[in-house]
Amino acid sequence: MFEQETVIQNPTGLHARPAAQLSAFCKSFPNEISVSSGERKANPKSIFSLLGGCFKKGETVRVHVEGEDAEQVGKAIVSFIESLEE
Amino acid sequence: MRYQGIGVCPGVALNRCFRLSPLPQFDYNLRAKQPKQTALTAFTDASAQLKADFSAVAAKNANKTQAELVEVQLAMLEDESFVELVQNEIEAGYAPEAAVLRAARSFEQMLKALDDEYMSARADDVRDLGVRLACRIADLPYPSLSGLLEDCVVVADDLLPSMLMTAEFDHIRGIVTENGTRTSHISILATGLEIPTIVACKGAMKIAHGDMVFMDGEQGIAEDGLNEEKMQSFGARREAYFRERQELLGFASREAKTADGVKIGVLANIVTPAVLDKVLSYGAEGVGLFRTEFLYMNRSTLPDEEEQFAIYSAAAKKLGGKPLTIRTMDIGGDKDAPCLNLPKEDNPFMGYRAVRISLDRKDLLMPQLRAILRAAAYGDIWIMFPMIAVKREITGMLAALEEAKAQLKQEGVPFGETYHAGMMVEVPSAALRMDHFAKYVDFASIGSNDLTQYTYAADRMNARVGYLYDFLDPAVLRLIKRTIDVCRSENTVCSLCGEMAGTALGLAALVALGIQKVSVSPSGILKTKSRLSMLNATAMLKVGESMINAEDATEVKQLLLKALPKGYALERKEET
Repeated sequence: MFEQETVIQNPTGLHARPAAQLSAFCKSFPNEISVSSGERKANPKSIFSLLGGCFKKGETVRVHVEGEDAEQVGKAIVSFIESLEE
Repeated sequence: MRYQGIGVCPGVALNRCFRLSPLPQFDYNLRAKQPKQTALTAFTDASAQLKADFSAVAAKNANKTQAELVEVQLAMLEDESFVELVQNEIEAGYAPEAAVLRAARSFEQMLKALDDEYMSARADDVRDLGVRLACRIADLPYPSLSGLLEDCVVVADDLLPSMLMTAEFDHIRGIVTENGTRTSHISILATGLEIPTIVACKGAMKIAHGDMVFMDGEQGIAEDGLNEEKMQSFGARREAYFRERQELLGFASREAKTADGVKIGVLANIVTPAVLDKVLSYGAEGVGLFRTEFLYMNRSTLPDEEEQFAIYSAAAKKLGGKPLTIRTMDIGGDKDAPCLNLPKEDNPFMGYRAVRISLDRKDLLMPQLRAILRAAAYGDIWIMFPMIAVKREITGMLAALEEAKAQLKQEGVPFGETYHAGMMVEVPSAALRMDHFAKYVDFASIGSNDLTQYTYAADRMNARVGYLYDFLDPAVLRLIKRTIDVCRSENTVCSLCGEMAGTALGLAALVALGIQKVSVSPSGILKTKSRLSMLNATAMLKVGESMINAEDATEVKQLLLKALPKGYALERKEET
């Protein structure tokens, strides 16, 4: 299991292109993954689930990964979120 | 068959027709006639085809808007929860086209229910995806220009600016629409992109998708059903057109002046800095109008200061010291900008638009003013405020500009101290009181499109009152002359940036009224220089006085035609 918090830095948040990019990236892992902030929890492999989460710039989100290589996968996802630009 | 319309952007094309069909109407409750397995296959096949289309667009260096559209819709199409919902609907007995639409509608409602302005654009995306899929399944053409793979002439009922903004410009050789007018936004956009365009072309939708079609954007004609003989003669016309363009290029390096040596500045109206290379290669003196509102359209988020600064400063640098006139955003009217979240109005042209919004919405105005001021460090920036009607609007905008400057100074952000601040003269009240306004501004630019429609209270989009919309009518000419004369005596630079300057008679009339600078579409720069080179300013100025005292526009035209040199080409019938 892996869990880490990160702050969304890109201007539009996990929305539109960033959400599309993140969902495509997460799909490349077989692990069970979630992104959450307080009560709001999303499955980042689904763009609709991500959009439904309304994660905005400046918000702290918790990335949770289960399964094999959870640590490695989780770190990759955190740095992916941190590298989003739009 | 020949179709006649109004030519709004000159040029000749001979290509296959890409007929943009109206959105098909689907029945959301349609039950499946085929077995469930066949229905599922129909969905997976359509989905695979659409994915291939999206990948093809993505691979072709799509512009930013296209790339976003494709990336988001692709992610939605591949979303397991979406696929699952479609499968459930098919299991429930719905036809595959109804199933995809129902699934898309569920997600659309889910996104709308979030009540977040960012999400409403995504709701549109998923609805659009549903329609795309349904069209695939039902084997109906989907009305989109984003996936064009070969050169074509686009034929449509009407084109929304968003349709053109997401289009594959490089493949659009011409545009023919059944509706629209010379000054509707599709015309302005197409002209900016130099795409030969005909609007109000009755019957054009009869042209079949895939047929060869000839069009002449100068004469406003389109023709289909071409036999070999016609193909040859139209092919020859296309050649001749390209030759003429080649000749006009001779004017690129020549200074714009009349036959008797009076210099008249010719600048460009631009929508996107992407056309600046062309503008410079045509030898324009700079940009007389950069319509920044297009930065705000077709998007769900506001362009922030950094994005605007990047665009304005890059444009200023590219112009290398030539003037860049940036008009602050002129949203309202008929322009749709979801990111502004403006309420719909019954009479938008008389309503909340341009500075009327800017003065209320500092969150919109300040980033733009700051970005413009910062860009002024990189070139010759002229800041222009649209729709000024009363004193408090111009003083309000100038005060906001001072405030932006003070902010930048305090934050230690570099900006340009030397710039010009001016106003559009497009509301009759501004023209009537130019003597009063002149003391506040460095320059004035007459917007002849709006000035004409506001003078006659005639909506320029409404064909039924089209007879009123004539910038050669003495009433508009008087307002223009008054503006020019007052500016001259007050030492205020005066130019005109409307469609008027791009027409042969309009330009002649402006020279007769003593204009010193005009700003025209990029495709009109060489033509304008060539026209000016034929005009005798001294002779034209003598006509000016009689023009403003003429009975009507018809008499104005007669006066002009009498004074014009024989060779002054009137390529197309000027509309009366």
